[in-house]
Amino acid sequence: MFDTIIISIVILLLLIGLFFTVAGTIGFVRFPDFYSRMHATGKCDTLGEGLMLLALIIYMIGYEGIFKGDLVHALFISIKIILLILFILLANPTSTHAIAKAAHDVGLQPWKKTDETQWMNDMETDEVTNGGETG
Amino acid sequence: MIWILDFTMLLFLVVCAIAAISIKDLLSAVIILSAYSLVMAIVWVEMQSVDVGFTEAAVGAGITTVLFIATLARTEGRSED
Amino acid sequence: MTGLIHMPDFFLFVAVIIVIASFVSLYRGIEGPGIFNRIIAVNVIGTKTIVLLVLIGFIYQRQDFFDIALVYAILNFIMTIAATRY
Repeated sequence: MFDTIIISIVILLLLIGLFFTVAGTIGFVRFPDFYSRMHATGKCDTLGEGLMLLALIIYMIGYEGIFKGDLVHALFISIKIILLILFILLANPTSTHAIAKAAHDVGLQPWKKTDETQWMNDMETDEVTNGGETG
Repeated sequence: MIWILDFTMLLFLVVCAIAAISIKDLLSAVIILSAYSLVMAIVWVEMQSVDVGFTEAAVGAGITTVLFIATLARTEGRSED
Repeated sequence: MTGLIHMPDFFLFVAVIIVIASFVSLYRGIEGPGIFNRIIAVNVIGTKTIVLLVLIGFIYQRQDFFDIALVYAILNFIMTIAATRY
């Protein structure tokens, strides 16, 4: 009875994490402008990542700890994953911030709903021969 | 059952390689190459060779890409060909 | 305890979906107008490969894969900083 609880928790968390990751990716592809894309990836990926790794930790504790009995080994391993989660939660936002600052310095204008045509002569369309990406 | 993962990742590699060639802007090509070496390390790990995966990960993203970017900083960013 | 046995198949399912998601972000990486979209694309693919690595570690029941995932997290961060520095 006990392992069914663990399995359901793990599957639930994995699916939620997967949902966020996929949502972040879809957002990353569909958003019209660079800055809005960064919103999607910065937030959703980090969260999806955290949830999935958390689910794996619970699975680890459940599988190694109770099923095979060596709880110490399992905890030792899951500490590594906890470190991984913490580092990702730390590193991802800062890297997104670094990109945003770099883009801002280069002078990339955020896309405004009104100026549909003005967007065409933006810096980043110098190599895009086809029409406006949003068109 | 596992080969599905292998197959998709190898396909990813092929697409990455073709993209790296066809891109005009050199810095983007370098960045695509770093994505290539990222997934390459996963393929190594997938094939149960942990040490090769380790070195590929460390070298591919750590050293090669940074060296490419350093050289690009000196030379001109776009390729004329 | 039998339920715990065929869990790796479920992990495989999740891993395949993650690879498909990284395919989609690669599309944006290639298509992306400027350099910065591509930097984000590689960043996104990097974070996805970290989860993929841990999942593969679980599928093969061998626990020495998580060090590589840790290395990847750090390298991805360094890569992004190096790219933005230029």
